[in-house]
Amino acid sequence: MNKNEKVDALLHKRRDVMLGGGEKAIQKQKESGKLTARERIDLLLDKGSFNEYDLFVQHDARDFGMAEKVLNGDGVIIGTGTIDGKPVCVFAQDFTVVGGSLGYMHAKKITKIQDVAMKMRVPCIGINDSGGARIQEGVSSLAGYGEIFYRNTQASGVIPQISVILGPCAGGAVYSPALTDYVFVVDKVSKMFITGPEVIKTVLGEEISQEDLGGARVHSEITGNAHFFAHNEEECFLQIRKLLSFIPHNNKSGAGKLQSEKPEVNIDINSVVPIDPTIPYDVRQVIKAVTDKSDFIEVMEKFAQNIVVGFGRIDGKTVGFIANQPFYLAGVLDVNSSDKAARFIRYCDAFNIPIVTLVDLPGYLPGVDQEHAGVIRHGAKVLYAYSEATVPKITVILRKAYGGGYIAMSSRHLNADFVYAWPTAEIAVMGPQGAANIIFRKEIMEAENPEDMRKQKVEEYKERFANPYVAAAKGYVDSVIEPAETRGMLIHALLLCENKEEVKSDRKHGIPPF
Amino acid sequence: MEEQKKIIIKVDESEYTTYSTPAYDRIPKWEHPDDRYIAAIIPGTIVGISVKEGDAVSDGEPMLVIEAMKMNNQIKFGRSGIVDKILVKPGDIVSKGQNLMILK
Repeated sequence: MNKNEKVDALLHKRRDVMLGGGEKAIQKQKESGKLTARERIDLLLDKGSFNEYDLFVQHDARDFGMAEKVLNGDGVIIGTGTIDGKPVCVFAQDFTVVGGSLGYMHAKKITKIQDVAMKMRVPCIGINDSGGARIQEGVSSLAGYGEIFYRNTQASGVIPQISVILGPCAGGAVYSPALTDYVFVVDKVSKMFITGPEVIKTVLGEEISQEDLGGARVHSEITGNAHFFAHNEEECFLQIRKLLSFIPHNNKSGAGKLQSEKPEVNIDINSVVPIDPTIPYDVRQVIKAVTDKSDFIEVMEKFAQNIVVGFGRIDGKTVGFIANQPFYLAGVLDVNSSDKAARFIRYCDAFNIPIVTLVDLPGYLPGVDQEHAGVIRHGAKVLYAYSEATVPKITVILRKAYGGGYIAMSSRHLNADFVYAWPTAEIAVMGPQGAANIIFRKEIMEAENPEDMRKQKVEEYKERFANPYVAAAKGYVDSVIEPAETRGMLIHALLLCENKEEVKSDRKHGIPPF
Repeated sequence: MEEQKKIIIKVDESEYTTYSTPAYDRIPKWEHPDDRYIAAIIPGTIVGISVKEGDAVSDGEPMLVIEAMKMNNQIKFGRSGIVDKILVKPGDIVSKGQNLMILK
């Protein structure tokens, strides 16, 4: 062979392997409403930026007739590329090659790209579409999973790790996504569960579809395993690109500063929040009124909607927002919203993203279900996460901040850097109804007309305590501000916090409530 | 916003008008457990029943065997009493929390 022939041979070999499971399997993949692994990588990355590694890797399994089987790429594609010009690592399981099943070399390819991501401090994005362990490889395939999980854990808080579920992801395979920072799912495409419908049917006799058991909606709305929901794969990849434009690409780099831009003018921040604390509104309007271009990317939009978390920019710099959402469940803290908030706080802290907290909540959700579900343990996560976080913490109390909810939502007492309150703020030990009934129980009971007396006492309590000035008098609130001043105050506070330094204790790590 | 169910949430005697979430809608209403009923602690298939209705049973006595994940699990009585009613038969598939027997 001369040189040209050798090059031709390479191109030929490459073309063959890049067909994955072959044209028939590709056809089948498309018929099931899915894109191929290569199409997915192309949609995710900047055009033409993908560089593939380990294309010619082969498995070395010998049992059950595997020795004769050639599996192109061993069912997974790995490589590097760019998103908005910034480098990222990516792997995509190829379902057309024996159902994307995970054998040892398949796993080796994944851990190789994880190692590159970690060494180069760039984000790692994994596209999951696999039937699970390659049974013929036995314990080797389990070893493969374990080595992936170990790297997921080591990389946690160092580089962003993103999992995209674009097909089945079942059994042990689900634990890699669960260990990563963000799980993206697509309606009718993603399926995640530990034990599938078949096992459930045999053991329990219960019939349930894959979709109802672990579809995209279930994980977005009920389980909280997924963080971003898309209607189709194209939308999903745009979401990933958008998220990566907001977050730092490692724990040292920072997100970078863009040109500062004004919020969209059509949101009047003065009129968003009703004075009556029992009336709902959409707190995202407040977020949009203070962020550059009113651009806000919400994380876990469909789960525990009583708290809103996500990223926006203020004066060109990325901040993480945590806001009680009175529109849903009155904005209470409960098991789910506590979990959601606490994890997001820890994410921001790990990646040096300042936290802005918007407070409007009546407290914790009462109920047997909540107590038995461990709301004590879950609620404590919020306290722990805020107390532990050393990134800039700026709090704005919009309206009600009662009792334990007030303390938990990044209060001065948990070491917030700046606490502001709007004139509509009500910072009190509990809501006026409850407080008046306890404090003035005797007067109310002994009154000629108890109902009138109750009303009068509630009004008295409201007048004296349901405001920001009692807390301001003690210095728990730094400034009572007009709503329209909020963005300006936040910009200034963030500027002041830029070189914030807190001495960390030399303990190995704390033991947060799980 | 998507179509949502309007609800009232009461915290500290104040009533808040607000909207429900999918997870909130699934919260089962709590009922006081009736200790005459014995419920399955694991899901599985009933493979054998060690007692019959009318039997006097004591704490720790074998009740029945549930096969789950290829394991035969011997389930024992947690208290003494008389078997009033047996609600399952061998071959039945039971889910966790399903009532198996009534004691009196």
